[in-house]
Amino acid sequence: MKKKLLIGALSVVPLSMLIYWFNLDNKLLYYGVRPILNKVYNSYQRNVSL
Amino acid sequence: MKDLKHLIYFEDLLQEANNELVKQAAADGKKALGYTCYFVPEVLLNLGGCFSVRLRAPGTSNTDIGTYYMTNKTCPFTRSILERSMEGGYNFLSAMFSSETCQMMHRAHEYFDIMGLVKEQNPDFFLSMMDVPFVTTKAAYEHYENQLRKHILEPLEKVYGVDISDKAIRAAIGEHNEICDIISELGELRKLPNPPITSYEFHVLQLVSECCPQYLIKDKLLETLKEVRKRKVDPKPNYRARIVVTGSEVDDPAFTKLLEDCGVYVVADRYCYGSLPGREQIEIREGESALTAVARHYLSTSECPRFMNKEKQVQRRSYLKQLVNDYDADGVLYLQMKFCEYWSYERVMGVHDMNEVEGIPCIGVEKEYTMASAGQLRTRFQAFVESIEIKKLQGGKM
Amino acid sequence: MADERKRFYKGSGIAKHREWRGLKDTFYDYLQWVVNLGILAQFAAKSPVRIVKGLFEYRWFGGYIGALHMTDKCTAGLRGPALRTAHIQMHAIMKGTTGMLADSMIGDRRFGDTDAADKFVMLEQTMCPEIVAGFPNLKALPLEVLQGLLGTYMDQNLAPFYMDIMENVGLPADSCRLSANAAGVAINDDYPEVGACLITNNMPCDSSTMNSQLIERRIKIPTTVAGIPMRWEDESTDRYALAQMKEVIKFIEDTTGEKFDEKAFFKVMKQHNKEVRNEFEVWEYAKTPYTAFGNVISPLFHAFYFTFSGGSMPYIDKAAKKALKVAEKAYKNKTVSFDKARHRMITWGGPGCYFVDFNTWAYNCWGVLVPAQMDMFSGNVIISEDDLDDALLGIAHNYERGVMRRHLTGGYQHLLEVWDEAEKFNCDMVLVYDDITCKGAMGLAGVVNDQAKDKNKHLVWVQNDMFDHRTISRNEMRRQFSEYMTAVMQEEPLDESLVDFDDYEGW
Repeated sequence: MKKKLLIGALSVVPLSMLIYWFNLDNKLLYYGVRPILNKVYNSYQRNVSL
Repeated sequence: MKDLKHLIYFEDLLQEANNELVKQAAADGKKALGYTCYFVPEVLLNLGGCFSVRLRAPGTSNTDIGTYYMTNKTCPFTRSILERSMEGGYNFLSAMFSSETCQMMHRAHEYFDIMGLVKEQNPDFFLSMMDVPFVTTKAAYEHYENQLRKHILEPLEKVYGVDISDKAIRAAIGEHNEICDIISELGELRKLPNPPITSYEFHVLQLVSECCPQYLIKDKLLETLKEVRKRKVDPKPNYRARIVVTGSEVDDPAFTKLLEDCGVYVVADRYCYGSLPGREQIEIREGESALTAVARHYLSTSECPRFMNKEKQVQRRSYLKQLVNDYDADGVLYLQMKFCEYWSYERVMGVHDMNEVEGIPCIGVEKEYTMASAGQLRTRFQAFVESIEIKKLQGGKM
Repeated sequence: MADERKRFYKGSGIAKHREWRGLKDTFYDYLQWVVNLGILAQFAAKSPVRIVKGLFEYRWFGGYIGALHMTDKCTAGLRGPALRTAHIQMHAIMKGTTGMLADSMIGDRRFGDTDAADKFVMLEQTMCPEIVAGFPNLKALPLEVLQGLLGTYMDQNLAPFYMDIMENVGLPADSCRLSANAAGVAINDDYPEVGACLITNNMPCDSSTMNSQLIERRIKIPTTVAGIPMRWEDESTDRYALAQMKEVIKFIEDTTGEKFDEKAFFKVMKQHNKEVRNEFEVWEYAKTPYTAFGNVISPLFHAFYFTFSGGSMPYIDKAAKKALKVAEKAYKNKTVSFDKARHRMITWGGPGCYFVDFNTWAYNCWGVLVPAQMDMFSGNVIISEDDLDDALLGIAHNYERGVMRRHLTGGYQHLLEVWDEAEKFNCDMVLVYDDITCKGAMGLAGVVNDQAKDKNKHLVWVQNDMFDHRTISRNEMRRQFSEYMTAVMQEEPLDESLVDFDDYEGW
């Protein structure tokens, strides 16, 4: 168990480097999260008034 | 109705800023003091030896120079003023009084300094610019009064030796109130169902009282008032709808003529260069100085959308509503000069409030300084008038 | 960096992979990315439920997911000390921004009643927070900037939605975009319902004066106006300015029940002054060829601390001093951080906020370094640290000299200071942004042109529509500048691929 945790912890660094280098964070946010958010925003009925 | 005796004369006077009466007053040795904004109290520019000239740029067909300096995306009124001043159209001025109240207008005025305009003709010419508060608290009134003293009275005294004493200001207030009496009485006649004065005629008279030396025009204005009092009206009024017009600068009577052609009777002129506010009596209260009275009057009566405090916002709406009631109006027209930031927002909010909150028919239109887009405006106005007529026929309450 | 554009997807502008800056700088950049992730994690941890609710509730909040992307584009092409100062400053900006976002959500009554809501004093537009410094139990929170300016930096598609709302209710499209956006947010009921009270103000211009009035209609908390004098060089306005500040303090006391604490106030003023003095030091480096400050982030840092800190965010001073240490070392070692620079250019006027990295692009594409821009010169008032009236007047002066206000009000001479500043910062080029809705600046366009001819200066105008990329896109802005660089400056681009490319859809 401890060994597994250690491997897991150590692999965070190269994993994060991969995410960083291939810009996976922004790709996920732009192509994945952003469309979902836009759908949610567009579905709202806001109290639009002067 | 029979034409007014002096109407053509008044119309001629409005053809240029340096008209016959301005020239006569200058020849009399009086100082011509220019301004455009209501925040520059007209009464202070009429102290002894001076006369006020509210600047217009009649007949401005193109604004090439103004556009070069201020681009084509700024207020056409201010560009026209700049154009005219660069052409030398205001070289008769002894001083120009301004306030940093509206960005584009004060910029246009700054060109008097930037370009050294008028200086060649009159080395004593100066531009004076003051600060005006955005609220109407006690401190704001004091500030405004201080600014009037520092940026209007003191420069006048220093450069031209003008008497700026309390006594002199009281005298100026007295004369100002006489003009206000005449114009106000003429304006009140618009409340009648069949008024003895057209809205065009009133507009001409109001403008003339602002653009000409008041001491020289007063007699003819008084004569006109007497004439109107006795005037025989047509059997039926010649309008289809009575409208309060509010908004930014309207200094071209041709615009009011256009409204009349569309069946509108402008019962109340609640716009810049109009009489509401502008032709109320200035009252000096017990124990206060004349200058304090002037400051209080102009700040409290101003309907400029620039005022941000809630009281003033409420005042603007309630004042309009009051005018609709007092003048038995059928609706309200919000006019916004193109590119005017203040009135663009005010128009949006005002049209909404009038229609949705007060139930008063209201439209808002954008206009150029000149009558260039008259065709489009005509269509809008005609449609508005028709909508009011339909509402009346359907028994809708105004 | 040649053919840099190959690294990006067309349209979206998303990078296929991050920039290779050499082993050392790329590893450094990676570490700063990790720090940014840490800042974002801390942000989310402040109140995860409310923050997620906010993200799904408010369209403008969604724009902030572009934060990391914004960091990348603003640091593009940077190496060595310049990369380091940029990241140091950017961390502070990110920390401050996420802090304010979190506060907005924590205090948002829309997600349930909370005592926290009453701990905030909302300040409108570019009103800096020093006035709240005397209330240690209260915090200043900006209204509008989070929903407009900052969001637009991150996502150019954010503001058009709100501006369209305003046009639908009749506001002309020529009205200032910043104000139209803020008003549109109000009409759409998209402001967080947070705060004990709101201070509206007349900064920086006519349209702000008006949009405040519209916004007030949709705000449910007590409001007051801080109507700061426009003629700020006129000493006769000081008395009124001071009176206004006292009225604001009284209003805060009356609406929150808190009492003004002079000791706490002066502690923050000391910190404010440190921030200002740090900035003056930055300028001294920026004037030299060995500057580690330039392009986008340094002026952003200034605008940030002016608008949001005012001495209340201690990490601003820390970050500034850390960055200055890097800059000092670079200067001493005569390190040329911006080695591609062929020209030095000062930028003036209202920028295209949807093209926040314009300066970075100008550097990478054309070798034009921007060591100074107009907003850097806003504020910068040293405030008294022991006399209350003097200090309050200092705060009023700080407002009067605020972002945009400093140069667009109080006299035409202020906008025309561009030439003096260009000299001081050793700039051979001047770029004036022609924000097509900014009436204050447009009024002097011809004079600027005349003076450029008289002074024989390279002057380039770049039109933009401040918040609306649909009118004048980033690529159109690039085209205008590139035309000038080829036709007048007779330069070839450093990277042909950066001259013309499509990023219309992207963040």
